[in-house]
Amino acid sequence: MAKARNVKGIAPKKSLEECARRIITTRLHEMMSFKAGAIDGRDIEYVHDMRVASRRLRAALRNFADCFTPKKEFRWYLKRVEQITSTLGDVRDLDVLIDRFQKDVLTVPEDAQIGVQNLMRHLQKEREERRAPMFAMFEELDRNNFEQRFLEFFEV
Amino acid sequence: MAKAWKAKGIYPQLSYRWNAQVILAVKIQEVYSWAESIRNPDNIKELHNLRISVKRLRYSMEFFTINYGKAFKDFLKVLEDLQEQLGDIHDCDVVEMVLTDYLKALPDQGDTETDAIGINALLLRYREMRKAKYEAFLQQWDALEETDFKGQLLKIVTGKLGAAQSS
Repeated sequence: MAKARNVKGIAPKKSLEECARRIITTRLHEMMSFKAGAIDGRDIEYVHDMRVASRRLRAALRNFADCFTPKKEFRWYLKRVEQITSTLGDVRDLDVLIDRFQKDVLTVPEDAQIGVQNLMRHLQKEREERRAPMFAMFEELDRNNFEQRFLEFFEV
Repeated sequence: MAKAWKAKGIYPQLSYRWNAQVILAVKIQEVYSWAESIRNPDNIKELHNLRISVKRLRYSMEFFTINYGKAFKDFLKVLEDLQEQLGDIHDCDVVEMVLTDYLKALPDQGDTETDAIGINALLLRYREMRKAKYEAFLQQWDALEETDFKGQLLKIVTGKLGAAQSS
């Protein structure tokens, strides 16, 4: 799992609200930095890292929810982040399974290998199907100017 | 997935340090709300919920690291290991579900008999792995109980441990 990026400008004596804003915007930048790699899809770690970063962001939003108004707008951002985590999770689950079975197929008895290979083919097909909603989600986020609006709402 | 517990009594204009103890204390209680039910290895849902709660606590502790000393980081490391163990168990549970579903659907998909040999071989392997992972996790959990991990962490978080111990 990728290590969380350091957050600059936070200190124990500063207000929770200021620190929350700095943490949340850092986590957003971190999450979005993996987007291009996730779309490319050749290295499965990008989807994983983006999902983990989205979880950290989600945790920050939930923990610090009391710092932000209007609530309706805050909830809109939280919902988008939850959607990102969930959509990436659907892809990641299959990436993990395929990766796992690719290693397993080399170690099962010869008469069991065909079955595992057929299973992997089945999962590969499913993976491609699950990447489609991820692309659609990224397009929607871009259309809504999500990143810029998010930063405007949360920046210190 | 169980809902995250919400901390009450957060004051955005009070210090980051002050609010840290309020939020973290609730996250610790959330983790331990699963303590009893995870003693049964068949409680897949509860083990999954514990994993999620540990993750929530871990991420929350990461946010607040700056407020605490070295002992806090040591506790964070323990939680990371615990999360990894629970993740391994969860992975085995997911594999079990995927393989079982696939086996059920096999008649529609191909050479049933040949494929079933491979899937059953995997199932057997992952069941054994799951058993071993669960036992290792429980051993670690019990060891933490013996040292009062929860109580010690709560003391650090709320500042009730001496500065020498927490820094």
